[in-house]
Formats: sequence, C-alpha cells, structure tokens
Amino acid sequence: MPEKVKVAFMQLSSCWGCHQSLLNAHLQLLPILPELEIVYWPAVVDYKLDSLKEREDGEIVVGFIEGVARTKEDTEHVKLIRKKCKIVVALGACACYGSVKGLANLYDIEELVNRKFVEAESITDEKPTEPTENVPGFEDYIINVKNIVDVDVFIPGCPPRTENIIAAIYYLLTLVGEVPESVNKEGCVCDSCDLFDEGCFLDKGELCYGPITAAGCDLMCPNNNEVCYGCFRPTSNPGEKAEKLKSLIENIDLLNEETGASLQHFLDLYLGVSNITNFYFRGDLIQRLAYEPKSFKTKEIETDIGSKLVLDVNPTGNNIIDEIIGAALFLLKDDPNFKFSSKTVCSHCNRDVVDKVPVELKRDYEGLPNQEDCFLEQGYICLGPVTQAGCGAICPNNANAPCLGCYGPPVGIKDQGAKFISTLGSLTADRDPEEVMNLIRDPAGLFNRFTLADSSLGHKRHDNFKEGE
Amino acid sequence: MVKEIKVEPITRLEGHGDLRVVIDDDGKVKDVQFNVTSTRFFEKFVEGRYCEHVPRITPRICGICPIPHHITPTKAVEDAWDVEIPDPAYKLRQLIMNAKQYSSHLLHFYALAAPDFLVGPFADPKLRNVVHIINKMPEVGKMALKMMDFGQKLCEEIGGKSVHPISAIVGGMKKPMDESARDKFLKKVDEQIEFTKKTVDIGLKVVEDYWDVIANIGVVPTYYLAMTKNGIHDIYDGDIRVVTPDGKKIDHDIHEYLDVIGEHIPKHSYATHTYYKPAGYPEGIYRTNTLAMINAADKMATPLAQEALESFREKLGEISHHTFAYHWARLIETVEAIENVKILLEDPDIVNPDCKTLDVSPKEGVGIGITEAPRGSLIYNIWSDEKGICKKLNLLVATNHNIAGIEKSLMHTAKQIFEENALDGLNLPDPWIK
Repeated sequence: MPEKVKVAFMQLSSCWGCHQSLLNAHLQLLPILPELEIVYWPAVVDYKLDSLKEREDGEIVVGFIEGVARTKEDTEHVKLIRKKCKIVVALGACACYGSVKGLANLYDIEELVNRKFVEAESITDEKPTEPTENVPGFEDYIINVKNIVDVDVFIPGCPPRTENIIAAIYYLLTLVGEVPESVNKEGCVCDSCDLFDEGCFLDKGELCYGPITAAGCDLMCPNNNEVCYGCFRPTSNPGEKAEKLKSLIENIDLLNEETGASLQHFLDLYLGVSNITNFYFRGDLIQRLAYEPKSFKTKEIETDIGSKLVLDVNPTGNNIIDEIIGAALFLLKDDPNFKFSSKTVCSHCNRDVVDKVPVELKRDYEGLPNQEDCFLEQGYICLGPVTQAGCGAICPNNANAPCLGCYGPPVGIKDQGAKFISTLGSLTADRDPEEVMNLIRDPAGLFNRFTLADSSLGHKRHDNFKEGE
Repeated sequence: MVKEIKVEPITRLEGHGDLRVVIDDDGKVKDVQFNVTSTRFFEKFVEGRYCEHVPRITPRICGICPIPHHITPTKAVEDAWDVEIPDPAYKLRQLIMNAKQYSSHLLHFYALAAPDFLVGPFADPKLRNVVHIINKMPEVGKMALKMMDFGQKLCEEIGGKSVHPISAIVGGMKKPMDESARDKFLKKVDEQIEFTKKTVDIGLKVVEDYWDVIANIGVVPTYYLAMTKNGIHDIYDGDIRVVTPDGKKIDHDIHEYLDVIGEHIPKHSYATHTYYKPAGYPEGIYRTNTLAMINAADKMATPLAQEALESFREKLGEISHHTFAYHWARLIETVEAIENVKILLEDPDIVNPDCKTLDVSPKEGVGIGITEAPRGSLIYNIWSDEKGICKKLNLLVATNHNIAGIEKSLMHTAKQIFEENALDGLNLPDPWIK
C-alpha cells in the first residue's frame, strides 16, 4: 500500500461549515479516508498545537485553511500551516475573500469590541471591558489569508459544495503521485496506438499529444480518428515521437484559431483543474496564464530552426515535456483568441431568461417569486451574473432563492460588488435612479457580502501585509 | 511549585478554546480557565443590513447548526414587523429544525463524544477519533454515516443548502417540499427509526459500562435554562424555562429574557458568562443544551422519546446534575427528532404551496426570536427601523450559554481529580476497540 498522504486542517475564526460540507460526503469519505493521514484537525482528532509545531517544515503535503484572520492567533496559525505544508488550500469563502466576516471591516475594531463586550443589552457588569487575559487579541481588521502567505489553491463557496472539495482532494492526491491504478506513467499513449506505424497524426503534421501522455486508456480517441489531447496527464517516459510534437509546436510562427484551440484544450486536460472542479489553482498554468500572465519568465531554447523564446515552466520536471508546454504557453500568451472561460452561476441556472431586465424592483420579503423565471426579471436582486460557477446554481434551482454571491467573482473579476453595480446600472438604465437607490440602501451588504475584505472597499489598508514586502 | 496544565486547543469541539488548570504548591486547584479564543462580532456588522437579509448572514455563526441561526433571526424579524406565517411554513420550519437536530446530535454522539467511551479515555490520542471507529467498527460507522446523511440531505432539501440554508424568508418559506422528495424521505424514515433504536442501545451500553464515571465524576448542581412549549419539549417554538438546582421550574415569556439572563464579561474568555439574573453571578450560573432540555421538560412530544425520558428519570431522578448524562439526554432528543421528522413528512401541509404570506411590510419595532439549537437556547433580539434596516442586534448564542457552566463543571472536576484523586480506583470497562 502506498504511503498515506499527510494532511492538516486549520480552523481560523470561522464557523466550521466548510469542514461540515466535507463531512457531508458521508459514505463517499470511506474510499478517501484510508489514503490520508490526518495530522492536525482539532475538531476531529486529538493532536494538539505543539505536535503541529514539532513537525518538519514542508512535511505535510496539503494544509487546508478555513476561516479568516480575526485574532492575532489566527494570523500566526496561517503562517504556521504555510511553513509546515507543501500545498496550502484556502478552503471556502472566508479563506478566499473574508466571507460575511469581512463585513466587520466596515467598522473600527473599537466599535466591534464595544458592541459585544460593553454595550450589549444583556451585560450586567458595571464597568465591562474587553477580555485580555490568556486570549490572543484582535487584528484591527479582517486580513485575507492570501495577504498573509502565498496560497496555492482557492476553493470558493460558503461553504464550497461537497463535490468541489472531494474533487479537489482527489486532484491534489494525483498531484503528489497518488494516481488512479489504471494510469500507467511508465508508458505513453503511442505504445499501443494502431496508427503509430502507418502514418499517424504527427507524421501528417497534426498536433497529437499521445507521445507525452501516460498510457492506460482504451485509445478511444485515435481509434475514432481523433488526436490524443492528453487527458491521462503526463507520462514519466515520453515516446520517440515527442521530438516531432516539440518541433511542430516550435515551428508555429503565427497561431491560427484552430491550433490555438488545440493547444488550450490540451493544456486544460493535461495539467488543468478547471475541467475537474471550480477553483483557482495557481499551479494550473492555463489559469495562471489567463489571470497572472506577467508572473511568467521567458527563456531561450535552441531548436532545429534556431533559437526560440518559450515560457520558463517546469510542471513535470521532464525536460522535453516542460519545453513543449513552455512553447505552447508562449504561443497562447499573445493569442487574441485565448480566453479561459470562467462561467457564472447563470450558466447553470435552469430559470427562463430573456434579457434579465427587471419589470419592477422588489425587496426579498415582497411577494413570492415564481420558480420558472429569472430572478432579476422578476425584480429580485440576484448575484448570479457576477458569481463564479461551481455550486450548480442550487439556490435559484432548488430553493427558489436568488444567488447571494457566495462563490465570489468569476476568476478575473476583481470586485464582485463593483461588477454587480455596473450590471444593475445597465439593466435599470431606463428607470428612475431614485427607485433603484431605494432598493439598494446597503450596497456593501448586498453586493460584497462575501468579498468585502477583498474588494476595493475593504483591502487597501493591508495590501502589504506579507512579511518582507 | 505552582503547576499549570494547559490544553491547547481543546479538541473534538467545534470552535476555539483552551483549558488552563493551575495547581498550587499545596496541591489545591487554584484556578481553572476555559479560554474561548475567538469571536467575530456578528452582532455589530449586521447593523445597517436589511432585516430580511440578517438570516442570510447569521447562519455563518455556526456551520454545524446553521439552521437555527437561519430560522431564529427570521422569527425575530417577524416579531418586530408583526408578521404571522401560514401553518405550512411553521411545519416546514419544524421539519428542518428536527432534521438538523437529528444529524447534529448524531455527529456529536458518534464523532465528538463516542471516541472517549469506545476507544477509552486513556487511549492513545492518535486513535481516539471517529476515523478509528469507522475502521474498527465498520458496520456501526456506516450506520452512523447513513444517519447523518439522512438528516443533512433533508436539511438540504428544505433549506436549499444544508450548510447555510436560504429558504426561510420573513413571512414564511420560499417553497414547500416537492412531493417526489417527500416520498423519497418517507420511504427511508422507518429504517432511520430502527438505526436510532440501535444507537440508543449503544448509548445505554455505554451508560452501563461507565456508570461509575457518570454517577461520580462531574456531578455539578447548577441552574438550567431551556425552551419548552407550555412545558412540553419543543425545539422550534416556545418560551424560556429555568430549572433551579433543587428542581423547581420557573417559566418566563421570551419577551422578558433581559430580566432572566445576565451576561458577565470575564477577563479571560471571548465567550461571555451568562447567568440567571435573579440569582446573581456566579450563584446563578446555568447550563443549557440537552441535559437542560431534559431537566426542563414535563414530557417529550413523541411516544418513543417519552419512554426514553422515563427510563432516564428512573435511573437519574427528576432532575439530573450529571454532566456525563448530557450524552444520554442527547439520545432522547435524537429519538424525538426522528419521530417528529416522520410525523411532519406524513403531514400534507409539508407540500402545501401556501407557505408564505404576502402580508409583510417593514416597520419600526423590536423583535425577539428563540429556538432551541442543538447546543442550547438561541435568542435573537433585533431592532428594525421603519425601512426595515437592522439598527441593532443582541445575540445570545447557544454554546455561549454553557461557557460559565462548563467552567464551573471543570473546576469541580479538577478538584475531584487533583485534590481527591478521584480517578484512582474508578471502575472503567475494557475498551470496545483498541
């Protein structure tokens, strides 16, 4: 049996709902649990903080962080888990954007403390004061986890759906080499491909990624006269035609639409996570290329047609594969057609929609919405158009409730609330502004409910929180 | 030499707490602190939000019991705005509350508490967890998972989401249950009742095995605070009932809660110490949660639960101060929860679309809502302005009611252990699993 993967779950100031969402997998947990060695998870196992501190740096493979940094202890715990873990996952809206707890940033810490420890109607002490003995003290505002340490994976949602978390865990297991049994990384797709000797796609000058893809599939694609796009992910032993693939890509001067689409589809399946689940993973080079293109360095490599620029990446550690990927990414970088398609809740919503323009505007308690038509058209505020997909649109589809925006903005949108204000502005352009304003007396609470601490309203003060910056 | 024993953090608990026990050089317990080390200030940052949206923010107070944190503020706003909800909405809320009670109590019993008893209190900490129980008792483990799954799926069906539901709205519920979904759960409910009986049997065996512990360790007389509906056990609707240490029951209308409950701000915990105001602090320290509910109720609402209550009282008396009896009390409530689920699923109102009144408009007012969450009475006191914007919120959260009581029990137990060596000679069973 392969060695168990060490994981840790750190809870900052939070509600434990993300962990409950994971536990909601119930019977589905049974095949996963034996793969994991849980070395820290206070709500479930009895390891104390000292045992976590005593571990080697980087010893734990994955550390999940739930919650926000409200107390000074939370901030220390974020740093501790970063130090001890190879991969740090921000699990849920709190760790990604601050969630509703970020609304606290609308107030000064003194106002918050006074309300709870001094002014609350039920307090009977003559001179109540903030507790200070053997308690950690508060940060002045909610600090986003990513402003304290580097985060590798973001799984949004309040809470993330059970299936999102399970898919992420499976994916992270494959990252550390816990691949499904059917995948044979020693061989490649070409090994048993019928086309190999009779003039295959590569021989004809078409891009086929079989030589760099792990074996073990039933060759459905080549048998159906389609190229391999690499869905079994990288092999450790590229086949002899890998050179051919590399030279084909290096020889592309101007990317046409079809070839660009081929490269993107390949990278998505071969390295990406977006086809598995909805979370932002910096290690997913195709997502990173879309949102942080400037974070890549370039390097020069020698090819049969002279020296060429590629992006300097090493996702697999195998030289030829990494150069193929670097060349493909370099081509896509300047391709106007390259676009990472981040979907919104609307794309999974079953309701009928014409133009989303509201007939009249309503507060949530007014009337009862019908279960067929778009909430915005019925006049109810719904954040579906500015919310990252991944939840399956459960609120509008199953609960007759508008989207509150808990999955945060679609990747690439900086401020969910600002985006919604612009959406609402264009949908209500022919209305009396007074009527619209009347409906949205609390824009921060309605549109930045889950993202305030990460929005233009709530993050300025701690842009440079990270040590050494 | 003064010795400090520090447990950081307290594990198998949802939330953040440390424990400190200070023992003087003469061997006497000098101080016990239960330090709750986090709080998030919900009571402040809901100010300025629309009242109808407060229930879509506050579930995030607790991911295990988000349903009471969704329903209770909704009731408080309805109280402030004078809104009456239709019967089908009342029943849908009862159903989701009972579904939550069921899964939460089972999570507590199997995942948080059982490892201490089944693996043994002195077992290797590495093994003292639910994963080990699932490995060693796969049949029980699977049954437990199926039970929690039933409760959580039912919450999701009614609430839209089981964690952080969205279906309650001022004036009722956003939609009734679908008939097909109702039928699906009805088909499974009898099996769940059988599972619950098996769980009670496991619980009673634990009681028998650990009788010496239950009867002698942590028996701490306190007040109790609970909710009843005219004396009958209820978790959705009712008023406050206080039980005195000698077993006297005193009823208070929920609107008088400020005369009943006082809050003391301790120096060493972000969770406050609540107490029964007429008795003063610390004399009036009370406990809530399952044992309080069982001590307060004249009777349970359903027949099997009533039988379970009678056997509890036969063994422990009309009023029990046995801290370890919380687990037994929890099982009695679990039985009532699943019986209620069946009764409500069979009620035609559960699929009745008349579940939201259209007669809702904001007004200036003060409203109070109470429910019984799985870990204690939950009280929301909200102030609305004439536009329906939340001006102020006073919150008495379930777990918070227990903090002073927990610290008091800890002090009592620490003295038993460190001053009276009560653990020596204690009659403990062989662990069920090793």
